[in-house]
This record gives sequence, C-alpha cells and structure tokens, in this order.
Amino acid sequence: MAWRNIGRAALYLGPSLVIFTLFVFYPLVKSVRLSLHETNIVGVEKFYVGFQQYVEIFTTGNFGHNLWLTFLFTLYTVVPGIVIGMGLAYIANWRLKGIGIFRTVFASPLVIAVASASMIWMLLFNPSAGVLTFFLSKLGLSQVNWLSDPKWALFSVCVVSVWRSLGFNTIVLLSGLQAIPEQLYESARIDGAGSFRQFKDITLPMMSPTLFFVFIVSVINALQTFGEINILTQGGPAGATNVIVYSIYREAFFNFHFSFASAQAIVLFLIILVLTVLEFVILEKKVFYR
Amino acid sequence: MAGVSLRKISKVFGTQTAVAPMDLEIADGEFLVLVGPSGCGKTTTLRMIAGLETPTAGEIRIGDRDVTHLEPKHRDIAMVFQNYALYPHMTVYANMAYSLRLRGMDKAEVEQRIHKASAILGIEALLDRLPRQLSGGQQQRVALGRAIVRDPQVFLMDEPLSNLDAKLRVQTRAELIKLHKRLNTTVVYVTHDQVEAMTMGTRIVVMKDGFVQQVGEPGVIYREPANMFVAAFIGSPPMQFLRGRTTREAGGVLFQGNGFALPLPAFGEQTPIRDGLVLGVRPENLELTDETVAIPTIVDVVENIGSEALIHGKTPDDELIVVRMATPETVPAAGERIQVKPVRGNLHLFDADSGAALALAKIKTNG
Repeated sequence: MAWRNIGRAALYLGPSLVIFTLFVFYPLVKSVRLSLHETNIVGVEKFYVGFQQYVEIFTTGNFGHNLWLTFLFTLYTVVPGIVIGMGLAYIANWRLKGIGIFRTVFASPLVIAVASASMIWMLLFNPSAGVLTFFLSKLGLSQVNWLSDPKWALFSVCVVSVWRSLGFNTIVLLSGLQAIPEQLYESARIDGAGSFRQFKDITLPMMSPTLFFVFIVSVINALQTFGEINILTQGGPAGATNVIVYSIYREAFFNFHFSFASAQAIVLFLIILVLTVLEFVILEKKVFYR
Repeated sequence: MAGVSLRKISKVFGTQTAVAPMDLEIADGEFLVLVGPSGCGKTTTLRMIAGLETPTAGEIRIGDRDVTHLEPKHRDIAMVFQNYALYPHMTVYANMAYSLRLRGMDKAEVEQRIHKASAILGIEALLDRLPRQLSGGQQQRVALGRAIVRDPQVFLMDEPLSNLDAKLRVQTRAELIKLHKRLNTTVVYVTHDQVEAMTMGTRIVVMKDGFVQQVGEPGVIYREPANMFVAAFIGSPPMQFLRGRTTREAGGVLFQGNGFALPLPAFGEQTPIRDGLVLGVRPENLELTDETVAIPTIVDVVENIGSEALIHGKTPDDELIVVRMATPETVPAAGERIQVKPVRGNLHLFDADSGAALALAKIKTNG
C-alpha cells in the first residue's frame, strides 16, 4: 500500500515539481555553479575560480552602493505602500453607496502590467508636457526632471512602485479589515475608546497577521523590482537607480559577465532569505493569530 | 445606580420603522426584560440606550441626565453582547481592565476591582488566559466580568445566554438572577426567549414589529395578556385560541364555537355579546372530561415526558388545541375522541380582527 500512496502523491505533486524544477531549482543550482566559475561571453563555464567572484563583489565595483540604493528603494516603497494601502482599505471599508466602484478603482493597479504602468507614469513625469509639471507650475514651483535628475530619479521610480503595490495591498488589507467583528468596535466604544484607541487597540492587533503578510511580500517584491527601473531609468541617471536586481541584469546581459552576475544574484538571494527569517523571528512575536 | 427613562424614542432606518415611538420608565434596580420575536425592535431599543444607535426622535435619560446625544462612553453603562465581543488578543485580565485603564484608574484599584469581580464570577483561575482558550460558558462569565468591574449605572444585555447550550443556559439564568440581587443594579435585558423573560424579569416589555405590546410583571403578563400576540408569545405551549361568538342564555354567557358550545358562567355583565370573537385558554387550564358540554376533540399526537403530557388535538372545525395533563397516568391514544374543558385559571375573550383582549374571567374551581 505504501508504495502505491507514494506513487499517487508523486502524481499529484508532479506538475508543480516539474515547473519548480525547470524555473526555480535548476536556475538556482545553475547560478551557484556559474558564480563559482569564470565564463565566456555566451555564459559557458570555462574554469573553476572558487569564491573569487564573491570576493570581488565586496572589494570592487559598486555593490555596496547598489545595496544601499536597494535598501533605500525598499524603505521608500514598503512603508508608503502599506500606509497608503491601509488608508485606502480603510476608506474602501466605509459602507457607502457605490463603494464597489472605489474598491475596483483602488484595486486596479494590480491588473495593470508593469510596462503599461511605467508608460503611463513616464507620460505623467514628462518634464515639458507631463501632468505633474502642470500641477507644479500651478503651485508656482519650478519644473522637476523627475527621471533624469539624479536627486529625483529614485524617488520617482519609488512613486511608480508604490502605486503599483497599492492594488494588492489594498485588497489584502481590506479583507483583513472586514474580518474584524463590528462588535469589538462597539464594545470598545462603550469601554471608552476614541477613534485613535480603537485603531491602536483593536484594528492594529487584529490586523497584525495581515500586515505581517503584506510586509513580508512587499519587502521581497521591493528587493526584486526590475520592470519599472528597466523602462523608466535603466538604472540611471549616473547609477542613481541602479538597484541590485538591475545591476545583475546589466552585468549579465550588457557586460556578459555571467558568473559575476550570478554571484550577485546568490548574494541577493541570501540577503532576502536572511531578512525574511529575521522578520519572522523578530516580528512574528507581535503578531496575534486568532 | 440609576433608572432609565425613554421618552417618545423611535428609530427609523430608511423607510423601515424599527422602533415606533415608545415611552418606558425603568426603575432604579429593576431587571427589565425586552422580549419579542426577531425584528421586533428590542435590540434596537437596547442599542439606543447604549448609544450605539441614535434615536430618530425622542429622549433617553439615565438617572437625571439626558444622554440622548452622548457617546456610549459617557453614559456610564456596560453592555454584554450576544457573542460576548471579548477582545481576542487580550487576556481575560486585560479584557476586564481595558475600560478601567481608559478611564485612567490607578493600577491598584484596577487590580482590586478585577479580583473582586472575578471572585464573584469564579473566574480567578482564568485571568491569564486568552478568550480562545475558554469555553463558551467561561467566555460568557468574562463578558459579565468586564461589565461588572465598571460598576456602571445600568447593565445592558443583548441575548447573553443564547450562545450557551441548553443546560448551561438554565444554570446561568439562575446565576444572573442571583447576581442582580447581589449588585442591585438596573438591568435592561434583551431576549427572544419567553422563559428567560418570565424567570428573570421583574418586569417584561413585550414587543412586536417595533411596537410595545404590553409592559408588566411576568405574572400579570401571563395571566392578563393585553392581546392575542402576547397571549401566544408568553407561555409554552402557547395559549389556545378558539374562534366563535357569544350569546346570552338563561344561565349566563354561552360561547358558540365551531362545532361546540361552551357555557362561560364566569363571565359577567360586561362581557361583549357578539360575533368575531376568540376564546383563549391556556393548555394547563384544560382538562379531559366525561361531560358532554365540552369541546369535542380528536387526539393527534401525545407527548408524554413523564412529569406531564401534552395532548395535541383538533376540534371538529380543525382548530388546533393542546391540553397539558399534569398527572399523565392514563393518556388517550392518537385518533381517540375526547372531551376537553377549561376547568381552572383564566378565560380570555379577544377581538378576532384586532386581537385585543376584551374580557377576562377567572374560573371558580369547585371546592
């Protein structure tokens, strides 16, 4: 009987195992191998170099700087993404006529492809004809080169990324809000809690599993952001938006330095892994699961 | 402690009248039960007293304060919800301490109050637990505890026993009565269960479709219902109704039912003599008889639970009739023809159209 069960289990697991093997496990193993070798221009391993690429990452080039940019990018996207998403979810939870329309609108960034979203924002950011410039001039402020000014480029890309994250964040946070029983708020009102105490003492703790989930996913997404940067700034100007994922891409497909790119990818993988484990260890204590 | 007075308060949701303008004086220390079927407005009334709903019109006073437009927290009330609404992420202690902490009470006082309340309720051992680690009955106690520690002027309870299983409900019912005796605080209690209303209330308010049907002490409501709705709602099995008309005969009033005639010597001069009447009699006041001047009945079902038996039958006109036999030593069998007669208690005459009670007479028992 046991072998028959194993056979059946394999049958069910088969499809996902095949997909994971092809697109996750194999590339992961291949990346580790590549990072330990020197490769030629088409990415074929030529000779083993051990951890030399890893040493290079931390001794030469801009890896430290790019890591810092990646950290800033994550900070500037995750925090506003969750705060604004929470605000939108709060509004979407109001019982008003036609609130469904707003819920749909709030969720819409979720279904817009990164390329389309980037193109829309490129038009908005346009220094001479963009809507943002128009509003700045209305306010009497001088125009800003959103994407070509190194001071503003990272911020601008973050804006697009935050906007894109709002659809998912709002939907998930809204479902979390809706799961909080109304009586808890009524009970809190009778107990003497005002709006702020209700938010702090009821909403936040009851939302903690949802917030934790959104936080973890947002951090991972932020660390892996590529689309908007590739379309809007290509890592520029002057490396101002050259986050690690983008620099990996440049290293591999512009410089054809596959092994160096692979080593960076593995380092990024380890960073995400360690971060996620840390988040679980540190934050999960504060999460209340019902 | 304080009484509550409702003056012409009403609540309209859109086009739906949840509570029609009602006046009610709840005395200090009273245990007032609002009872009625779902949608009768009892919970809305309670929520208006709590401040969770704003009345469409009217005034609410607690003690000598007009609280109509006060926030719940300023009304000095405590509420026990049907599903308890315990804060799931707080321990029992924190649940009970929450309102006290918000009032800025000092720690020692908070602790003293919680220990006193938990001793009364026997939940001292549960103080460090989370609500999800408690049974339904324990959660119910904590919800009560959370209300008690506040030492409010009025307790508001919204069907607090309906989530408990039958046995626990009976037990908790008795404990709530004892608790009320001990604290002597005004309680406004909402339930759809007429047994709870009868056993717990010092006074009962029966509601239906947003209108108050009758206000009174349980015994009065039971013996002298104001209309057919109250007569049928309070009491289980409910009062039995037989349609017919009255005539005046030599011996007194005669009730002409469908397929039977019953002399009603208890009724006096003021009895309405007309068509379109309903005779009401409670099942425990009916008895099987050998007399021929009685209600002929065909037995449908017999429920014998030992201490008593319920005989469900039909009159010649297919009106349903239930007889409660207090000493069911010999019970009739299904299909058997029997004679049934009211022999004690009250007889009621209602108007068939409005349902309003028209006359009431007490049967004189022989001996």
